Amino acid sequence: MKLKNTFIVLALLIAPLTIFGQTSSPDTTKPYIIFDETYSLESTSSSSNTTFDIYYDNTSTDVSKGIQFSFNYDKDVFDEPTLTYNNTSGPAGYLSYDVDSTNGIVKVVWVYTGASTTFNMTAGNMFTVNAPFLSSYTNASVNDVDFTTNLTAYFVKDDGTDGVLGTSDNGGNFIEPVFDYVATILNSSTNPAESIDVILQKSSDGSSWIDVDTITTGVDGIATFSENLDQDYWDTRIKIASGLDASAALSTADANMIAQIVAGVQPTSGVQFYTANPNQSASGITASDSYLVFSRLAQGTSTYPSNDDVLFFTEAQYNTIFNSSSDQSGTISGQTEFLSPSLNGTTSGNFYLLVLGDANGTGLN
Amino acid sequence: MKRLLLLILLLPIFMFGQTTTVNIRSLKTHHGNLSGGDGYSGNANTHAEFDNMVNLSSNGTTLHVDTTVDILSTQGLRGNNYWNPPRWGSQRFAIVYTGWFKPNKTGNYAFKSRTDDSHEFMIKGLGYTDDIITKHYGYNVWNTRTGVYLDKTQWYEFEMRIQNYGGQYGAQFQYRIPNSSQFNQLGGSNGSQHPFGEWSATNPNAVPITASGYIKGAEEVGIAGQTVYLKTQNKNQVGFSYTTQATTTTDSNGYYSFNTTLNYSDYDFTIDINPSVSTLTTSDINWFQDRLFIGTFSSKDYWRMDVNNTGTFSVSDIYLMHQRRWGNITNFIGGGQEMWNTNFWQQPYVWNAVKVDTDDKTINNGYGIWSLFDLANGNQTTFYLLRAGHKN
Repeated sequence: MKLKNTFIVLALLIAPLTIFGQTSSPDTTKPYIIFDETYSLESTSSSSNTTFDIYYDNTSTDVSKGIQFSFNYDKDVFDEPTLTYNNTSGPAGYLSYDVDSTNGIVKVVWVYTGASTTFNMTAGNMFTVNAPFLSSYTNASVNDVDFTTNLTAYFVKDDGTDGVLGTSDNGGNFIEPVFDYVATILNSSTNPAESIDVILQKSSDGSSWIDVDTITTGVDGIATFSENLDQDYWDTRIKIASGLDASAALSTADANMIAQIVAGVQPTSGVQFYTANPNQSASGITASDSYLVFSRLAQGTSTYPSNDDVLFFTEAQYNTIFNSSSDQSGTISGQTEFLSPSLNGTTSGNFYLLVLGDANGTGLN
Repeated sequence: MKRLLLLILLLPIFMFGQTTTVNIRSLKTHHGNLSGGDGYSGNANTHAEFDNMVNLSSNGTTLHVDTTVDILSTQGLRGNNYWNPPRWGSQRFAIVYTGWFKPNKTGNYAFKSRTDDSHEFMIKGLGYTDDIITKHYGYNVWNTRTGVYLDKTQWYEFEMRIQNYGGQYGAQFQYRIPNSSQFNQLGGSNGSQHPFGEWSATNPNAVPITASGYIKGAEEVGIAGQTVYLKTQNKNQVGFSYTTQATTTTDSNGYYSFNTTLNYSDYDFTIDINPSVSTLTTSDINWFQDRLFIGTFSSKDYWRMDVNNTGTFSVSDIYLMHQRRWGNITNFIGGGQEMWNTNFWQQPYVWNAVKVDTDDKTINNGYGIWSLFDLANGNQTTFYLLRAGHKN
């Protein structure tokens, strides 16, 4: 019981550090002005400006009556920013700042203007910077904000002299808006495909694509992406590379079933027009397909001589195939390297694969 | 015919248009009774005794009235029973006429006087003993002096003392113009036919002390409501012991001016200011705060902005200004000056440098608070004030 309580106390102590760790003083030697680790960049097409907070914290024994400091910003990304004081230390204060848009420098002075002689500044997100994009800005890398020495960082000590104001830069990096997407890879509507490497790609021009992240599906066939990626600028898609080894899905049962289909012993489902035709011949399902599976099993090879193991389909394509009693391969050929339609504006999608030769629908698991 | 007669009567006035006003001081002497005063008793029998009798510092002599009169009137030196100066009583009084005259003719004049009781008639600067032209210590005896050369282009300062200790009082004063054989009664009919000249209660030779200028702040904008003093000390006095003669305050443009009747020949003068630091304003302080963003500061800023005297400019200076504005502190820290000034007339090079330079000149403290003017060189200046925490 005592041990449990200790954990609880520890958890409570650590929790604030975990949550606010990037906006508090790094030490107790002096007051600090602080940049957070990351700041969210607005979308390029947003009507709002990018905003970010500058924090003040003081865990030292010094009393502070005012501060001055300076920082830079990416002048090639942002137009002239504005600052607002968030009343963290009360309304009796005067903020003035100066923006040098040529060099991307902002000088800031805030001073207590009230009558109290015991005033001490309060920690918090003291300033909010509102930074509009330059009209010429589309999307490119954004430099982080840094404290500079253009205006020496001072705080006002209790006796009215200057003290050194600490500057704590935890990064000040700008990140694009978060793009959350859940891709589910399925063998069938009830059979998720496991261990599939799903690649999230982005492109600014629709022809040149950049890999953003790769997630391997779990037993549920799901790959969950959460990336800083501005959909208003980037086009996005899912890619699954060709060359998957689907040997595990193949068995003599598949070869026998193909033979039975060829012999007319059992009807052919919509899906089997693909899975029972591993040589992808235009003549449809034949004894050659059954042989191809038997041969592969007998020789223990991991590939077919001239075809990939897997074909990918969109959900709509799969449903068409699944619901059909005829061969749809003439119009829906499937992709050996899967490139999804644009993901922009969506948050999830189901994608299907069919293993050639896997006539009984074992799938990739 | 009547009109012709009137014209003849007024002709002298029209011709000369001469002023005849002089100063008169009426004194009660001898305590107003038969007692003696300090350094005098009865009739004045010497010049020194007369000096004491008409001296307000002498115990026994008090002022009845100081005023001006027309010297040709019965209040002036008009003859005998006509003489009726302002006086506290009929006895134990003294009358002192002072002023300046300019004769109508150049040449040798003769003067004769007769009073009840003692009198002295003095023209200053002619070289006569005690400046005395005619005198009599006693009563009702004519005293005459001839050959008093006067130049019609000059003003002469005169003094006529008359005292009556007891009994009747009276005064007669006559003059004889150059190349004439006849004496003229001042104010009498024959005197009007041969008017003596022009009279004045103030010194026409005097050069009045005047001064004007501005008190301006760091931004060279006038400061209103500042007190300015005009102080004097006697001409050629050794040392400095100026006393205030006039006080004024600057107007909305920071302008001040003095127009006195003080004679520059008699006094040296100085213009003093006693500038005050008024309450600091938020607008000024905010202006200083915004000024922190400039790269280069003015020499003026070392006085007006670096209020904590660190030699640098920072948010700490701004904080202290607010504390001063609230009255939480009465002096800025660091022991530096809170006010600095210079006057442009005396040291133009100081302001010319301060207003354009960027270095710290606060070591040059303490000068410029006073000005020793000389009318020969000028009497106008602009004082520039640099006040801690004040933009202007």
